[in-house]
Amino acid sequence: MSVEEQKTEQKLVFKSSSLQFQSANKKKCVWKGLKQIISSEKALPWPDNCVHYGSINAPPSFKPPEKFSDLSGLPAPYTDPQTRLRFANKDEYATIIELPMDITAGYLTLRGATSIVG
Amino acid sequence: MSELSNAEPRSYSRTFDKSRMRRRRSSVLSAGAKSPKREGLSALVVDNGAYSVKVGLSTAQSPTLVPNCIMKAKSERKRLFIGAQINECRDCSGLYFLLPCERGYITKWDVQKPVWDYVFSRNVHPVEDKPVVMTQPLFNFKSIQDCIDEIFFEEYEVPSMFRPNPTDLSKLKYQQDNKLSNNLPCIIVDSGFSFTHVIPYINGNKYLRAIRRLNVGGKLLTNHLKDLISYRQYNVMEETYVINQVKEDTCYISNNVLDELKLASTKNNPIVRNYVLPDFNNIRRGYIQDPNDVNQKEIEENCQILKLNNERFVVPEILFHPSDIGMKSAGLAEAVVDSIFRCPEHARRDLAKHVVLSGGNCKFPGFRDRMYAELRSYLPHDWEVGVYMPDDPVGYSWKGGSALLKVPNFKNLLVTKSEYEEFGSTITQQRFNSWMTDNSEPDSESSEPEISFSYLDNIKGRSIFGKNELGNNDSKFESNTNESDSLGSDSKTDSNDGTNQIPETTENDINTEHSTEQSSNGFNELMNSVDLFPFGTNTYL
Repeated sequence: MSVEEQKTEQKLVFKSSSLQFQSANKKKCVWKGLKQIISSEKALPWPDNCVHYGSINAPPSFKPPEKFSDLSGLPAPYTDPQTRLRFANKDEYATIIELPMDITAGYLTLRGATSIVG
Repeated sequence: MSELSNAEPRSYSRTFDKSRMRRRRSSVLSAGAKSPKREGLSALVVDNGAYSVKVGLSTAQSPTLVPNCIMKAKSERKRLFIGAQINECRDCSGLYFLLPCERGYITKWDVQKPVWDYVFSRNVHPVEDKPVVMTQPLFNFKSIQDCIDEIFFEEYEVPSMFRPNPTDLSKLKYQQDNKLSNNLPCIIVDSGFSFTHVIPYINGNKYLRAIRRLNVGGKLLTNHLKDLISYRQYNVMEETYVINQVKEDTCYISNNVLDELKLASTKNNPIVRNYVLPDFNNIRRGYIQDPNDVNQKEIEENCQILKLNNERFVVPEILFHPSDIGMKSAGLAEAVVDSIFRCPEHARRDLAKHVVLSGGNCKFPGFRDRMYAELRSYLPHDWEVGVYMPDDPVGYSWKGGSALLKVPNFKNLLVTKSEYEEFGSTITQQRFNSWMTDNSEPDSESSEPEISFSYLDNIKGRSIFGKNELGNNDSKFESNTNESDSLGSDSKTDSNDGTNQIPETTENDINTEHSTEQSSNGFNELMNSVDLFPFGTNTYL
């Protein structure tokens, strides 16, 4: 008797099979960008000497950066003090002084030399 | 006969004689028979790279490569090409890429999900109730792991899952192929699309303290080549797809850059190659022109030809000298040496002997030789240096998936669906992130404080063509949502303490002297920050 009763009453107490959640929050989900993730990760209380994303960067190079001409890519012993462009010989210099501002800026960007401390 | 290879009949014949023997044997047998039966023998291995997904059953010989991106073509505006569907596209000029990863970490889930849907559909490889082994980048963030858990256990309903780092698999593969002991130290260099990792393994575990990351990857190299060509010859800023092929076909790593530069500046030098660009009419993929082939001349008359000279080796050179494009970070060989010397002393010699290269960048001709030459010159003369490069560096870590299944307690590593439902994402994090890692404190003798380096962003407010790129959707290897950094600097920069301290005004100001005057306050603040300049600010000025 009691066994049969139990069998028939297989109702889940907390779960109603008819209930369905309304997908109310259908609005577009915005994912965090990497910068946000990194900064929130950084804010976590990491223990001392813990290794995580921010601490595994390769160290700065011990070798001085080599200097190459912006125009030709050849080793460049000279730098134009006005535009900060590097050049290998006087012919290149003759070209450089005629270049308009936006082109010189472009060359510098190409070399990654626009940083304020570079 | 096959008696030796097949253990079963032999043991049966013997068990007839000795009943005691039989009992023992049969118990061994039944245990042995179970192990091939368990799902361990075949699992779906997914090496989820930022550029391509390598997917396949662990029993297969080689993986299927699927581009991990969604592409839009100019010729068919209405259609999105997901993954390998790009092969159906006739005109691949001006392809626009939507990439799911930012600097190697998945952040654009609305891009990643369709790609996965495509990969796990009938077209490529359905999941089919097999355990899934999926790689994740080193130090994957918690929020990203939560998302992967959710997608795989709740959307795809995989029965069980495991997530190693791709380098773990490479390491297992290396030691399996060369029959090395598990405890032998080795260094895995994984040079991929977004970054390059140098990871030493000691006693079978990653030695976390000595892991180094270089923010140079294939994406940065392609973008740089694109810039160079655009500045010297044609404007190819929109043609990332084509230039990537140019890079793969022509670039190589030279052994002596200065000599090679001299050679390249002479007339009729052997370095120059004429690359025939595809017109997507007669030529579908570009190729290097063969000057002796007369038949091709007619077709090529109407094509655009790219003349490549020193670009061929200057671009990959960034891997070894990031300073060429203004990055402060050390080169790859220097990073390997740094990593070796951060490891405990007893392991260093072995590490130098077992340097394993993997990842797509290793396919540049000359990579291995250059690596060997540089390591040789940096390391003490009585150390043996060994650099190993597999035949297929791209698929190397995927192939390690089958080696993973042979790890004795592999079954215990898997997280099953029911375990996930019971414990949530804590169990996946516990199990996956502690596997093969060694987070031990350094020896007390070398108790110097650990220094970590973070670099300033290379502030690139404008592209080289002067247009402000903020939020500008062009077809660089970038992700779809607008980012404030431009020109692929997203892969060359890093988590930076400094960005907040740099005043906004300098962002678009290119005249450097001028801008420092303007923002002297912020500048001083910057220079006093110990975190940014561990060796003192003078070395940077």
